[in-house]
Amino acid sequence: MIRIENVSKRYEKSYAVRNLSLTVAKGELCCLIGPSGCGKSTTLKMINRMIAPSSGTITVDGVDVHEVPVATLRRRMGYVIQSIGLFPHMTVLANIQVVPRLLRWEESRSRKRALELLELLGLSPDTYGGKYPAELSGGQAQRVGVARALAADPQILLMDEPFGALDPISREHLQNQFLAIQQELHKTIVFVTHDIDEAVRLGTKVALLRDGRLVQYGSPEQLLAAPADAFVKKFVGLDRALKRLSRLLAADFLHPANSVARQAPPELLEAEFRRLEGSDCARYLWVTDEENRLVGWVDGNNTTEKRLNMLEDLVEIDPADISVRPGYSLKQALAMFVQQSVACLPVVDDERRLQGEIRLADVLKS
Amino acid sequence: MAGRRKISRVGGAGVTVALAGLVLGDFVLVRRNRLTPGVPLSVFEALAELQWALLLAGLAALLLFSIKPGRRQAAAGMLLIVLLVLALLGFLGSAAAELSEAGGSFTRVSIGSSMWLALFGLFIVLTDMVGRARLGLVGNVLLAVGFVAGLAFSALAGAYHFLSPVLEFISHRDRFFAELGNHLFITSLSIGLAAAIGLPLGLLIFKYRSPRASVFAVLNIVQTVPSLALFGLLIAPLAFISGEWPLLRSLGVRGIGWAPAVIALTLYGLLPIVRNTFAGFAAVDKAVMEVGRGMGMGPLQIFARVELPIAAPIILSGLRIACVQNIGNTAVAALIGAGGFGIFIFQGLGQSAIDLILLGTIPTIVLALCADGLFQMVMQLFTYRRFLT
Repeated sequence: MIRIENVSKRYEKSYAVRNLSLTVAKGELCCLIGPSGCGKSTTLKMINRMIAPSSGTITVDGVDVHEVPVATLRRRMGYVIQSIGLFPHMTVLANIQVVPRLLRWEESRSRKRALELLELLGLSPDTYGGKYPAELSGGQAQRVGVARALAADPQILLMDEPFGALDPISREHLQNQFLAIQQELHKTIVFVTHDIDEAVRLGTKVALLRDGRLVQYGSPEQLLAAPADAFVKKFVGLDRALKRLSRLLAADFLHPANSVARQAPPELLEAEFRRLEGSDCARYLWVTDEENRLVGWVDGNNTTEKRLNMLEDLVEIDPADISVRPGYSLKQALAMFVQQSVACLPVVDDERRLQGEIRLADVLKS
Repeated sequence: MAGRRKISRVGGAGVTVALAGLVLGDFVLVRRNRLTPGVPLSVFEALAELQWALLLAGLAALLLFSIKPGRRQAAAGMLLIVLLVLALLGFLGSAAAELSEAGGSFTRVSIGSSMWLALFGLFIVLTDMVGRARLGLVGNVLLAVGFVAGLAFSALAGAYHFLSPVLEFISHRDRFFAELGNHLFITSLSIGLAAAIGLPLGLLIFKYRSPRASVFAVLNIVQTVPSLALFGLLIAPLAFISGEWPLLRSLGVRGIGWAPAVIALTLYGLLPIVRNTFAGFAAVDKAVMEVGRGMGMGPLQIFARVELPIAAPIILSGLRIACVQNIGNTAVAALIGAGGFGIFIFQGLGQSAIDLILLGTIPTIVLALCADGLFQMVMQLFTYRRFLT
């Protein structure tokens, strides 16, 4: 648990942080957010003493951070920054092993740990372990940055706009992955961002700062549903409803999929369509192959004859174009609904296997 | 694959230079004695048919290798160049032996322009192919060792015995090794001093902003003073110091000799070393330093594990420039009585004896190339160094 009490940071003329009090409970992911210059980064850096507060105290599990030797303190906290800062002269593995080596772990143990972490972050150890940072893309580099922060298994992670410099696609991908990892690891995380979407999507708590003061602190739902004042309202934006969708996962709105095997006899196809008549998603029947992988669909608006032809001369599609992954947020799903102008979308896993379908009506209701 | 290979312009140009030089230039100059002007002989006149045909065929093959220089072709080309150079020198030696025998015991056979052009052209091709063949450290060293071994073997077998620079070497043998010692002493002492001052100075002006501009200004001015002038300027103050402190005098510090040379060369070595040390540390990304601090590294750990290894290749390249430059400048120091290979050069200039000049010039160049190669090797070790155990 991190407790920040009445902390101020004063520079010669102005306050960067003014009388801030904030508690982050164990296992929470607290997003510090606000316009630039609001003191969010300063607050983060006071936790691992990169910056010394002018007044006030910060305690971790009841111990004042200034009572712990600074190197010990920092080695207990993972630290990730926007510009990543991988050591260019070390391989990916050596980068991840930096803190374990500082802590004088056995080499075999620290190496094993580094390999595990690469695996956890979806980078194949064989391919990436021996690479140098210059050989990585931005997204891969920040994955290594996160792995490095996790190396010594710290209970606390400090992340300063970690995904801020990535392109939108890698950022979203990394956010999803990071959420999945956090659900497994339950670290206590302080996460600085200026992106309200990111804060709402990732945070279990969001702290909105302005001019060094805490304006509102609560769950993302609270912030979206009941903004404390006009500033918060403006900051979270007019699309508050949309933002809430980004916190909901497609996996939680799964219906059994209406599907038919590619080799199915014509009678079965017709029977399926008759069965569906009148339901929400009567129009489409997903077509799968022997291994339940999505390969296409049949449009129920066609004549019977044409439907049969469609099954026979099925146009193979790239499932990514029309399907949703279970890990997608409803906001992402909504975008797909609009793009395809359909009321129903198939949900597939990483191997394209059909998991179910989600319905526009559910998204609109939630 | 074949479509991606391009014709190597550098390689092609190098072979052309070598070929044109060999065919059009003078292969040897035959003189009745050490000081008379020579009679030029072309490669066709000086060598047996089989010999020049072999050389031309080798160059033609090299041209083929540089038209589609893939990795294998480049490696084969490198081997061919080594063989060609050994053959060139060997044929030259045998031609010299024959011509000397025919002309009497005072006859001197010196190396003509076509030989220099051919060597120069082959060197260009070699630099091009080294980059393409990517043999790695071991491969390159093996090839170099093979070349030196071939050269040494031919030399010991007496293949070059009648070449005039070799004759000069034989008549100055003891002096040659003494001057080699002097040359190495002056160069290494000056580089050692320049590194001892320059490395900390570079780090200092990286950490502290205020002296930076003035340090660079002073070093730049030093660099613009001609070396001969700097040697001369040091004579008076050193003579004075030597007169005042007998202890220093007994160590050999005088107005002329090695002391002013070492001081001047140290000053020359400073600029590249300080500049590259500064640039090396400045090249370390601030984010990397911040993360190092944030992960709980102390200032010393950050310096030793992050800053220094990242800056090392650039710092080493500064040392390399200073070293190569000082090896050349040490030759000039012979004029103020410091010794070194410059002795032969200036003696040769005084006597208009080209071969004596070569006796000073060739080893100076070889020394510089060796130092350069050595530093490149160390730098390569740093760049490829794996921090995995």
